[in-house]
Amino acid sequence: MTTSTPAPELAPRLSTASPATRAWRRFRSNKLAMIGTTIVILLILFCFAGPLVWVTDQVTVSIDLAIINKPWGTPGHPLGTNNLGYDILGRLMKAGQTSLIIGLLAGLLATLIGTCWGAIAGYIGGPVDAIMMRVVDAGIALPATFLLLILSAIMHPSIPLMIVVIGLVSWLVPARLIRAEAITIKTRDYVLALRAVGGSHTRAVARHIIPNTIGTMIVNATFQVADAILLVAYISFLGMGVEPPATDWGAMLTKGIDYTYAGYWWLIFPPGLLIVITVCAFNFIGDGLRDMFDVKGRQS
Amino acid sequence: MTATAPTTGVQPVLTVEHLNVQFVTDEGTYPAVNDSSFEIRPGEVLALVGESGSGKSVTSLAILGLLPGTARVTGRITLAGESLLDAGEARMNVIRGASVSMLFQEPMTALNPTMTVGAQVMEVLTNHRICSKAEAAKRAVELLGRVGIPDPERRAKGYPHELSGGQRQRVVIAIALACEPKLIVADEPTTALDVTVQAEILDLLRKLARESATAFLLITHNMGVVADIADHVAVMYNGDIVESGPMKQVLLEPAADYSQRLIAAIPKMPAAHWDDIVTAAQEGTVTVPAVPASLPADDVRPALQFDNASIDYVRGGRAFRAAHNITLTIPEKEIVGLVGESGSGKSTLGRCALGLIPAAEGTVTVLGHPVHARSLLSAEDKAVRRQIGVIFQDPGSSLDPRMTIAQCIEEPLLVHSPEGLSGRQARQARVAELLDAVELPSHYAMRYPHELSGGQRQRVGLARAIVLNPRVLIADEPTSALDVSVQAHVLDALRSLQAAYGFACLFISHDLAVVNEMSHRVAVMWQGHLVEVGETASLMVRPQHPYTIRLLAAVPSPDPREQARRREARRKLATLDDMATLADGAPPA
Amino acid sequence: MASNRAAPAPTAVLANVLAKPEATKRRPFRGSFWWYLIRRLLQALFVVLLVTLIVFTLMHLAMPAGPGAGILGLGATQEQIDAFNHAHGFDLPIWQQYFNYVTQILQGDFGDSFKQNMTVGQAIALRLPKTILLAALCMVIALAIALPMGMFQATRRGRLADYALTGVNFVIYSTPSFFMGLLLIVVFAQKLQLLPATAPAGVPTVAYLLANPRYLVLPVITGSLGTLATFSRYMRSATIDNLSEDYVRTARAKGTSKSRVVVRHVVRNSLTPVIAMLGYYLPVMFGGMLVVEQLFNYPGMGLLFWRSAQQADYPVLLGCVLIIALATVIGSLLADIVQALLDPRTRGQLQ
Repeated sequence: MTTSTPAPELAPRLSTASPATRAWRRFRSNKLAMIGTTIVILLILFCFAGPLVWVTDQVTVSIDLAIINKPWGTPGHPLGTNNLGYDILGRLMKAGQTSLIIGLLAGLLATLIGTCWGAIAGYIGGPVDAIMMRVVDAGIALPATFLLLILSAIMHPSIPLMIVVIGLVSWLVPARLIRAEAITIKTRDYVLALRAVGGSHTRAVARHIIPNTIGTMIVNATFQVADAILLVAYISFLGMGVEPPATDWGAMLTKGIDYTYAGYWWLIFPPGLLIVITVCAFNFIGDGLRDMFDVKGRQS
Repeated sequence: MTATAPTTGVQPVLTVEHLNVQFVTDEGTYPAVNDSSFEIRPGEVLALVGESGSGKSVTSLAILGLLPGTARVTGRITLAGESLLDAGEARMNVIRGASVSMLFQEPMTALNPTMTVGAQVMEVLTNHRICSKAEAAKRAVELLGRVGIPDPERRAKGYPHELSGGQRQRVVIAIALACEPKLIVADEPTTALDVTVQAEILDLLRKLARESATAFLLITHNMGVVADIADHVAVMYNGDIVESGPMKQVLLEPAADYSQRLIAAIPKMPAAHWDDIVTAAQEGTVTVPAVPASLPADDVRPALQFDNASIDYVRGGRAFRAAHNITLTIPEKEIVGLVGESGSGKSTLGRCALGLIPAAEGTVTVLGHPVHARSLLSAEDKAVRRQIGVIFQDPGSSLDPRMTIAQCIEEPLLVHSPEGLSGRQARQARVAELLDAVELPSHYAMRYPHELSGGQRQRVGLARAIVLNPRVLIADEPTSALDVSVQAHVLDALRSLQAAYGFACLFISHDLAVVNEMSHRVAVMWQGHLVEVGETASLMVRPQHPYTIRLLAAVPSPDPREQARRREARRKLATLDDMATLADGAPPA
Repeated sequence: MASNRAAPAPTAVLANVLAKPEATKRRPFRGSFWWYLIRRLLQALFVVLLVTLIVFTLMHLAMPAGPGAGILGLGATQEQIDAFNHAHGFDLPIWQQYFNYVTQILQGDFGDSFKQNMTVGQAIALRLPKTILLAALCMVIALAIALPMGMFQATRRGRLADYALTGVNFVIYSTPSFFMGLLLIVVFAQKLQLLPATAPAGVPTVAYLLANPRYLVLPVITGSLGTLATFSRYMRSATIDNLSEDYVRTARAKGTSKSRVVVRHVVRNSLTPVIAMLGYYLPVMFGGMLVVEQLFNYPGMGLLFWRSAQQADYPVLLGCVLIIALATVIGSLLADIVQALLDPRTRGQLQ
């Protein structure tokens, strides 16, 4: 070799901060994502800590005309009461618990199933992948709302059942996304190097494929939560939601529809707006996370 | 510093004065080009050379006004008396394509896949209202013919995917030429092409530069390309032009410290016996050498042995034969270079040796044990795999981005838990030992791959490849993605590791010069066939097979004198029908 | 050279030996367009089979003892129900029942409704055209706005107009369509009294609806908003992806202005992935119609489904699901074929 001292290689430009710090900085610089995060934290506080401060009776049904259908601004009932005498503000908190719990857990469940299914199908490839993905195609072809309605007609909808059922109809999209990613990751040199040295398939999937799809997983989970909250509302609107005395924002809104012509807007607007705000907030976060994890479109 | 051009009294076409470019990102402002000045006269080729990150491509995009919105540009760029930085977007649209046009690095993606080739050439003519639509269609066909596209009328109606990479680059050249611009900016126009195709494109560019008054600004990292067609050279490093002058002066007697080191780092090749080669070819006595079935029986034990191996490759549901009846021996403690262009099957051969692709026929053995590409590996298979290490090309994907450097290096130890290295502390000690062997500081163990430069990552890849102390290393283009000075460093590391650990190595590369410096023996592959095997020293100066001859003649030498000889030899060889028939061959399936 | 040298031979002879090892000019069938088409058809068939299996499973989940009890009504005795189930083969082994089920579907027989005095096929045939009318109108209007909007946003990426439209998009996407529809009813039907809030009484025909389009206005607006938000997002990201392609830079270097690059080059390439989405969007579209029809009392398949769900009329429910699933499989098959035909790379293999 004739070289004496090669010129120093130019250092990579983004090397100072740790990956977590840089990711957090990217996320923080996305205003919408920060607004979304703040809203979600406030909503969780409102729904779960709120009832400790604003104590209301959400069980006892009343037929006392002095209590039912009070408009907003009534002393003791800032948002009024409904036809059963429940305080709307307190009811919003209770309904929010249902919507958020189902949304979060169903979104999580869907992502979990989808990730495993997609990672395995994409990694194995060939006929196994073909069959697994046709199952996903069949699932996507079946309309989710329709299925939920049928299942609600067959079984009595409870919160755990809703979580499982919504999770079971929502895992298909993440499965496709993760599969596509697994297919590219498995041809990366680090996976080939592991296979060449005799590493097992389990190790390849567990140590390389799944950890490297984590960005897609998190982004998708956020969107799944948003969609699950909407789905809960739709099911309630179609009259097949959780059974009383449990309720969710969609059910509150639906009950209020009958009173629209009477001008009882406080029955529909608060739950309606809360759904919009919550779903928007999760979408904002998902968008911010996508910017944060997505290398595509970044200046290099 | 200003590029010193001979004062011929001709006004320069392009003058760049005190150009500064900065990128504003959410993490700060980065300078890309600092106070650069140069000029180009009509008919001249100015090569702007430098390694990645030197600012040469940014300079080219600044001239065309195609930098992204995050760039801040100051200084003066004057094209034929007009200031380009002051021209508005509308005016730039008139200038781009008409007065200055551009060639890009990646011909495979430079054309719109859903638009006919002819329409894409016509677009530049109709944009500038050079002629009517009907006239433009005719001109487009003429232009395609001029840049050497066979059957231009039919090709004009076809789509880009029907053309090879070299032909697509010719289409892009036709687009650039269409309005007879004063300046063509060519950003690494041949980097993505095979050497033999590169040589043809360089011939075309040289012809165009000689025929017209069009000036060329050639952006490249390849000194061989510079030696082939440039008149002047400006060397960039870290945003600065560190040296400029006439091509021969800069390449042969570099003045700046950086240029000297850069040129010294370029792998060298011996001067081939071109006169003998050309004479033999002209007399029709070129022989196709028989590829030796095995090495002369010098009682060497083969470390890796391909025995009549054929390999099928499946792509898009279609299987085709990527390697035919390969018989090749890699003796213990020896480096054998395997060269070939893309699609020659050289990487397929490497992957077969790694057990990633099965051999359809024949066998591959490591130290006498067959390598199987089974999905589930038996204990014997795993024992064989322990003896093979691998390093791949792409530093971007060779290490798992979610693992620390230590985790990357120790992974093979976790797979095999070899005796004495199964404990946590033993593994850590081994990682530290190897980081030291590849000259990386030990605290890098806790870092993540993205914090390392490309060259550092390839050295980590080397450390991982030999962590199990294998007897065979497969190196698949280990330095092809690196800059020359970094490449020199990684090759040094590989060489010293080989000396210290004594493994055999199959060194796969498209770069004859690198193979020349690295290997004891060279094997040449072409379209799935092994066409020639020989001692490096003799093969590089007196190749036997017509394809090897053509390949060698196509590699541009960074030495302008040797390059002149090669070009002359290429010209003579090209006139021989037999050589042309053989070397053109059928495109790889 | 390390080895013995071969005897000299003229290169031309060797060229023939070496140059084209297996020079077969004929394009192999594997990997051709027709190969792709046949594979895609077989895949679709397999998906249909899976769909019928899932629906059949649901049927058994809903009616473990067969549909006899439901069809004969509350007055039937156990003997009558058993006799009915026996006569119709509902007491056969499960795989035989599945086989019969698939055979029936192939003959266009979806069974009998429990509550309405007609077959499932008749009930659906009565309602489906009206849902198709509504869905098609929603789709056309949504796409007509969403595609240009997504493109516009992509070209204004990161500027105020993009942010504003993205914000609006988020709000639309996040609003349950029944809430949106309710607001429209309050404003346009209740306050301004411009448009009817519900479909006309009785069961109007498609012709009647087309002759009286005012009944369609609010349902169509409500039904198209979600689709609009979804597809403008797709179009925006597809366009952004294409704008960063190399061929865009080539076109810009030719002196083509930014807006002309979009019109001439980017639109076509961005539409392809969006077209591929259309087939898979069908179930979402029908899901949307379910809500819209129920809100506006629009007499389509959605309303039929909703009523049947209230009455546990399982044959109708499963028939609807099956129809939509089949439509989706066919739709995505067509979308894939159209996509393949639009791409010169696959289309070229036809010749």
